[in-house]
Amino acid sequence: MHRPPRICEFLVRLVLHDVDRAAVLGDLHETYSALREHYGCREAARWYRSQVIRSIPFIFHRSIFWGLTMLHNYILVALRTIRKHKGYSFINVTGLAAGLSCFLFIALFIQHERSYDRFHSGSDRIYRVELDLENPMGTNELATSPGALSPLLNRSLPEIEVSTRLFRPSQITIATETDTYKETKTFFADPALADVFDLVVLRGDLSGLSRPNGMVLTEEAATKYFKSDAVVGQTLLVADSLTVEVTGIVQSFPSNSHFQFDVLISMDTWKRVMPATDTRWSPHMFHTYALASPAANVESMKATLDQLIRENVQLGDGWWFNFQFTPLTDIHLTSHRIAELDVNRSVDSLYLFGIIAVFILAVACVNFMNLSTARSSMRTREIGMRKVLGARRAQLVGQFLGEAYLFTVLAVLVSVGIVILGLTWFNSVAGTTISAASLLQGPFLISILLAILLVGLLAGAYPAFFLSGFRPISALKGWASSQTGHRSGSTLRKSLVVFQFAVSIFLIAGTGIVLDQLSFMRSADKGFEPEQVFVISSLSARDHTAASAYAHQISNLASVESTTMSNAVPGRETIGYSFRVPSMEESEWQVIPVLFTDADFMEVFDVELAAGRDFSWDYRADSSGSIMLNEAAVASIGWKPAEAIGREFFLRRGGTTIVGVLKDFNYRSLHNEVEPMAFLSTPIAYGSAPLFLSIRLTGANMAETTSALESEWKNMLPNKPFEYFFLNEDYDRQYREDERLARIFTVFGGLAILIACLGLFGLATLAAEQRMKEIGIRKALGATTYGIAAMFTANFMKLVGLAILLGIPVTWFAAKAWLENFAYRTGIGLDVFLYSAVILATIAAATITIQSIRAALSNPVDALRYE
Amino acid sequence: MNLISRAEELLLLAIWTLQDQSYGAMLRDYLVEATNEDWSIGVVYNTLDRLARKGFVRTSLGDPTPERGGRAKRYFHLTAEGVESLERIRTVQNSLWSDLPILNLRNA
Repeated sequence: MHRPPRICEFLVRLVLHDVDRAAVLGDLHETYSALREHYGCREAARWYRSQVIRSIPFIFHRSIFWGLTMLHNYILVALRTIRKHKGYSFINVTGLAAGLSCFLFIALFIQHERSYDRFHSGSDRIYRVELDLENPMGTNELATSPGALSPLLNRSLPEIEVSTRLFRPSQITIATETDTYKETKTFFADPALADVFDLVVLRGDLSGLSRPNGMVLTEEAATKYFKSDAVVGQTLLVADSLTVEVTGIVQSFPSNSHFQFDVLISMDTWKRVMPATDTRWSPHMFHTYALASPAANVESMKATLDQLIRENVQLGDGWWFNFQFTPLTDIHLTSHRIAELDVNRSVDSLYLFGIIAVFILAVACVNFMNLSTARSSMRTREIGMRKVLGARRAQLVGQFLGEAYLFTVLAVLVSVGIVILGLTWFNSVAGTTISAASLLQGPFLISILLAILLVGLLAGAYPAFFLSGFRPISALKGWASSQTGHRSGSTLRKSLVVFQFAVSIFLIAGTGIVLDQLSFMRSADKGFEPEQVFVISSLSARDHTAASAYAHQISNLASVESTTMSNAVPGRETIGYSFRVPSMEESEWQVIPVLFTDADFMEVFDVELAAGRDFSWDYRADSSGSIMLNEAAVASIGWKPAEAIGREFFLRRGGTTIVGVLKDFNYRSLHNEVEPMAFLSTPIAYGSAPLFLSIRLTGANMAETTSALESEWKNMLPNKPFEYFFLNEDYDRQYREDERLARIFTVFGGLAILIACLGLFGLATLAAEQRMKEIGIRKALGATTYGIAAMFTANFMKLVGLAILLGIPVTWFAAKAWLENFAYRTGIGLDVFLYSAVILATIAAATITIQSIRAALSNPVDALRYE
Repeated sequence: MNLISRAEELLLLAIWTLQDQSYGAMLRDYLVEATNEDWSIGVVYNTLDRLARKGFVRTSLGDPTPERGGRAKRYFHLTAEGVESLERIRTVQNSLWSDLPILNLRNA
């Protein structure tokens, strides 16, 4: 009781400092003591408490006032620092902003990819039911299933609330009164589609899906066909034979959906073409989706389904149906089955992107911290002065951390701006529809905030905590910088620079290797010749007669060498059929892709024979159907090419003879080995199968030839659209993903180099400033400009060299692993690494040289003036 | 406005009166006695700071005493400008207080 109330005292002590604190507390204490003498402890304490409470506002006001004054000073100093080292600060902020923007873009992309299909309200309960088709040759993992599956699920699986089918013909003709279109995103759908997925109706209704000859369109499709809003009630001609009425317009799916549609036609319409759809267990051409009840269990559903199949379905020997339930949201990233609706990405590539993003961000942050730290080591004098004038440790910490955070926040703002402005460009490159609003979502905001906190802290930590602890005298005398050895050559900083350049060499060399592989695949001998082949793609098997007439007509053109018709061309899918040869068991059928074509096939595509003879118009047998196999097919049966000639070959539709064996050629891209393949000598697979007319041109006068072909077409087939492509371009589409990878590597390689060079530049600048005295002395003692520049540059080039040495083995291993994906691969030559190293070294040297020359040219008088 | 406020004026007068005893606790005691108001220590210091900023007082440090729990005293002294400011406000008040008309306080 002889002391003033502790709490109040503590309160005051908290808010005031130094002289203020002493004066106020002292006065309070004095009066307290006097009061205690005259009135006793309790009175005195009561008075003390009331005084403190009444004074709090004023005390706060005081400390805020002084706080503001100091803040004013800090800001002034910070701005002066920036102005003094303008280029420096700009580099710093820019580097961090660039790295952050990169990271944000990639993060947005990854988030987009991971959010596929979640916009449906039942997305966590929707499964795609897929068929694992087990047959003697192996198991085909299909994304599709038979038509009878969905009704069975609806009938007999109680855990399934509703299921629906989607069927997408590979192309289908849709005609308005004036135009005809070949559509590839047209689906036949059960009415239950709207129950499983979310379809947003914009106009009209979905009744078209529940009856024959009804359809709904997306807005884009409606505009394309009708060019106006009044679409409901209009009709379109589908597949040249079905008049279908539009009953409504729906919103198309956003980009993060594993399939996109333009037109939905009712399944009832399809049933007019194939009435037994609901009962047939083959073909498996439907994508079946089921909405399960919340309590459903995949294992039990599979078991029930297995049982049902066993009881209800008759299959040939050696064939088995195994059904899989894949959650809807897993499809995009994990499913790579046959007949997927769209290209799915793999989780691997997302991981790769994620790693790249983190890499770049790490590099940028490291740079930022590096430069900030290095720069602040030059401010030891300022720190010393402040301490002499009475600054407390906390104040110094606050000042330097504050400066660091100022930079960080600035960089973050710039990077967010970059992302928002660049979003449209990014969307077009990546094929996504990400909106700026997604930046405001929880995870993003949190991660941005965390990034700010962390980076600012690390950047400001060195001056704030470390430098502020120095003794003022040593700081003033400039000893501090050399005592800690924190010149621009500190180990940590050196290793960070090495790391950045190692990443850069990885990206440069990586790009080189990817491009190498791409050009290898493009130019490698594929066993056939895709150049100068003009392919007309708008026909179907029904048009065979008209097409033959056309082909005959155009072969009179000088630039047309030969023509052939087939149901597919190299690079495009063809169908697998069951086959058997006499050496196999009666019931043992295997599957082989079959290309339906004619006698001119070999000539147009320039494929070679290994044994036997080509198809020919002279042989009558050929007109009803002879078979050629490729070497791979023959080998898989177990024959030598010559042995195969004359043997019998059975398809389910009937038997024929093998008349020739073709040398293997890469029907598919060089990602894969050559598959076994059979060739039938009639181009018609079934009535509505696609028909491709392939024309080998001499290559002269391409423009005239094209227009000549077109005008002849308009003459003879005015009702069919004239759609075509060049085979070499179409074939190369298979390399799209790889090209994209190369593009990505290039972009990020460039960025990484930019950021690394920024960092290097900053460090070189710093080193030049820090070593001014040393350079001055050297010059005074007779060193040449060249000598100094060389010494300077050599110092840093050592680091770059080390980085290259470290980065090359890592790149080599990674490249080997990536090339494993390809059946045909190029070797990893030494020259890729050589070029990359040279490029990197040159850029780095250029960066350093600017600064080293500047340093070397400085006047020694200026540096030594104050010694 | 170059005129000092009432609190500032009172404080300056207190410092003038107390001469060498012009530190926080004493000033406060004197003011409490003179004005019969319970001044809080915060107000006193705030006003003193304002006066110091305006240049009307200057401060110096004194010795610690056990009554203050071992803390030093902060003394305040008038400057020439401070005296000048007092004179100015005095002049203004005098001229306003003199020649006042008779006030009719009944509500009109």
